[in-house]
Formats: sequence, C-alpha cells, structure tokens
Amino acid sequence: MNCKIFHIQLDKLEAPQLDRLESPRALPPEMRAHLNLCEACRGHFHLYQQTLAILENDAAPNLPADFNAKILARLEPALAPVHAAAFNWKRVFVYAGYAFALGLALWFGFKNFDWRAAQQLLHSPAAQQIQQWLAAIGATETLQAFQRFVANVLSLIPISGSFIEKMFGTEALPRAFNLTLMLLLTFTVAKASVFLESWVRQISRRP
Amino acid sequence: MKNDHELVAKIRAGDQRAFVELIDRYKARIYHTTLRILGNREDAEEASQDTFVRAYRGLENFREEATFSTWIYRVCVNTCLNKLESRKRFQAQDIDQTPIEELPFTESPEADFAEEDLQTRVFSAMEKLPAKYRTVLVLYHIQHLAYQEIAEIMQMPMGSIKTHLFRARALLRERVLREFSHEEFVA
Repeated sequence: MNCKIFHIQLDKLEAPQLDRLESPRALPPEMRAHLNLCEACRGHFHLYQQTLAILENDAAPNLPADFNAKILARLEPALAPVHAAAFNWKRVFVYAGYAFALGLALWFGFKNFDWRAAQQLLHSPAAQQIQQWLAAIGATETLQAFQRFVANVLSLIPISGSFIEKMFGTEALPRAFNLTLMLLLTFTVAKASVFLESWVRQISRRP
Repeated sequence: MKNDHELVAKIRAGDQRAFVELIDRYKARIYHTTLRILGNREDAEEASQDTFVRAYRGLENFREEATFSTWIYRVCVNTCLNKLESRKRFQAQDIDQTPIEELPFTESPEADFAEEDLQTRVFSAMEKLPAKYRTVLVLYHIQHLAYQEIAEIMQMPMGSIKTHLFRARALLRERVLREFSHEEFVA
C-alpha cells in the first residue's frame, strides 16, 4: 500500500471503524502496516484523528437570550389571527349581543329605580364614611376628587332631572335614566369583553 | 413530556405554548447546525429563526410519516442552502472543482498543535468546503445523525450521502493539511 491509497482508504472509512478512529487498531491490517512504515502518513493520520475529534466533540454554542422572542415577534400576525381581527365589527356585535342581554336584565332591575334616591345615596352615611376613611389615610387628592364627583352628580341630577321632567313628563325621567344606563353598560361591556379576550390571548401566548 | 407529534397536533389546534416548547426542544441543534453551515453567528441566528418561522407556516405540509426532527432539519438545511446560494458563496469555492487526486500531499505537520488553534483551522477549512459537503459533515459528525436520516433530510439516496461524506472528509483533510504545510513553507 502506498501513501495515496492509504489516504483514499482513510477517507472511505465508515462507522463503526470511523467512530473508533482514536486508536489505529480500528484500521484494517494493511493500513496499520503502512502506518508503521510511513512517518508522513502517521502525522497525517494523527491530524485526521484530531480533526474528526474536533467535529465530533463540537459543543453547541450559546443561543442569544431573545431567540424565542424574536421568532414569536416575527410570527405575531400568524400566531394571533384572532388578535388582529379582534376589533372587527362582527366580533363587537357578538359581544354587544351578550351585553344587551345583560343590559336587559339590568333594565328590569333598575325599572323601579328612583333617581331622587341617588341624591340621598350620595349624602348617605356610607358616602360620609368613605370621605372619613380617605381623610384618615391622608389621601387628600382622592378625597378631593371624590368630593368633586359628589358635587357634580348632585348638581347634575336636579338639572337634567327637571329638564327631562319638563320635556317628557314625570314618568320619562326614570326611563331615560335607565335607558342611558343600559346603553352605557352595553357599550362598556362589549368593549371590555373584546379587550379582555385580546388580553387573555396575549397572556396565554407568552413563553 | 409530550412527544413531537403530540406537540405538532397541539400547535395545529392553536396551542402556541406547544410551539414554544418545540422551539426550546430544537433551537440548540438548529442553531448549531446553521452556525457550522453558514460560518458566522449573525447569519446563523437569522437562518435559525427563519427555520422556525418557515416550519410554523409550513406545518400543514408536514406529513407524519416522517419524524418531526427530520422534517425540521430539512427546513433548516434548505434555509441555509438558500441563504448561501443567494450570497453566491459557491463561486468563491474554487476547491470544489479540484479533483482530490490532484491535491498535493504535504509533509507531516507538527505532532501536537495547540487544540484551540487546530479547532480554528478546522472550522476555517470547513467553511471553504462546498455547501453540500459541509452540510453532510455537519449532520453526520456534529449532529451525529444516521446515514438514513441524512438521506431523508437532503432527499438523496443513502449511497450519495456516503459518497458526499467521503469527498467531504477528503477535502477537509486536505484543506487542514494544506493550511499547515503553507505555514511551514512560509517559515
């Protein structure tokens, strides 16, 4: 066997000989015999052993920390088709249907609501108690905001109440109040449902 | 722990957490493969991400008679080869056309090289190999895949894979030897 044939045979080696190449004993006898005679081929063989060992033992490199995030960001439109379509009218109307049912229930609940009682409610011991608590914990800004809210509501109720009573009669006021409340609730619940759904989808998608 | 097919079924049903689990399971292997085929971290990161994006988008084409592992490696290898082709790296590889028999044999190199130095030279030499040879070397020697699996990944007969590996190892050996002999001549 000459050097050229030795190298060709070396390249042709397959598993399991190739897997045990750290030892020349894995080589066929003819190749081993050539190695004993040829110093150059011994050097080449040694280098070849080292080369293959480097490949076989090559450790997996560290991944960038944001590897997953980058993939998910690129897939964002594909991963969240519902999220992208979350604000289409069809979906809003579906939720509006649910909200309307809820509003209808509230409508009956509030049917006998007396708007004048609202004034009494804002002067009630409970409202006073809230103000006292806010003052006690030093939440002055919140207290002031609460007081402004109470003042505004108290001033608005008689004005709007007397206007509606004049225009539509005494029975119209509670109905108008209830209708407004129901519409507001319908819109709020529909919008909140859509937001909630998008939010839940987003949270569940996070790794 | 769920197997790959269970995860794929969950992804198809819209479970995005299953996809993240699948990424975690394969990202190290895919990144390692792309790094060794493409030769630099930036390209490797991009190609790895492309692999997962393409895999997700093409999941409906995944037929379950193959293993998911084979399928995603195929996507990975194709992504790398496309990337290399688009950059026209093939043209720079003049050694591709050189018959192995014509490559000169060199004098014996020093017995012991610094391991790190040798490692750098080996990977440097590997980068200069034609992409198809580099790919089979990576899949066989670095990813430790079987001939049959490599044949399925590269969609070639097993005999061709063995031939590719033979030529790849021969070229790599010659390239590594050539680097050392060049230094010897300069010295």
